[in-house]
Amino acid sequence: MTSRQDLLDTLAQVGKALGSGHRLALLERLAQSEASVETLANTAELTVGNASAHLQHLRRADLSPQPARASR
Amino acid sequence: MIYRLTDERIVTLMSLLREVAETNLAEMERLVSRLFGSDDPNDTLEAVSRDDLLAGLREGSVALLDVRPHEEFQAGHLPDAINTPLDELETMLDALPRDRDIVAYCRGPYCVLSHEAVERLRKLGFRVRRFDEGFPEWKAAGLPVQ
Repeated sequence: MTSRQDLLDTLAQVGKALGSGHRLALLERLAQSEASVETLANTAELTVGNASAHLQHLRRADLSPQPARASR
Repeated sequence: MIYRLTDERIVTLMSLLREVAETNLAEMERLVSRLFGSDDPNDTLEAVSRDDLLAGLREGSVALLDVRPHEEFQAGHLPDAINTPLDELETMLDALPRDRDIVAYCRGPYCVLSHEAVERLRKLGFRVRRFDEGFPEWKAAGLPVQ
């Protein structure tokens, strides 16, 4: 049962990424275009520190990795 | 440091989340109507559905107004949309048609920029309504973007 539970816990990480109104605001902005943490924080009305913490959650679900440098 | 969405299906997931919430949580309806309520109680600012917008665009009876900031518009927008960020709206009135219906859109179903634009433009005599979705939902549906 443990490996099944591990599977479900891993699946639930995607739910966790969506499990905050602030993260939904960040995802709404990210769905428009790529952006800096400052832009994301500003749009979602968060401090840069809070926005970074929420972006960590999204990264854990692999929804918003942080490229080494800007693309394009 | 630049962040971007790695899987655009998240937009579809968020749309489904919204539908489930709106169907099952009575609180959602109250909050949505508070967010999109009109200053004028006689004015029913009913939003335009995707099907109605597509029909209007096909007939050429509708002009699209994108009220998101320029950088978001430049990353992608609905076909032939005019970009006028909300804070530039009053300086861009000459660019807006008066002989056609205008449909304003922004980041998504709960984005208030387009609602605000509709309220302001209606007071100036424009025929304008809000799209009930946003750019990401349009794109996720496989509809044309520029």
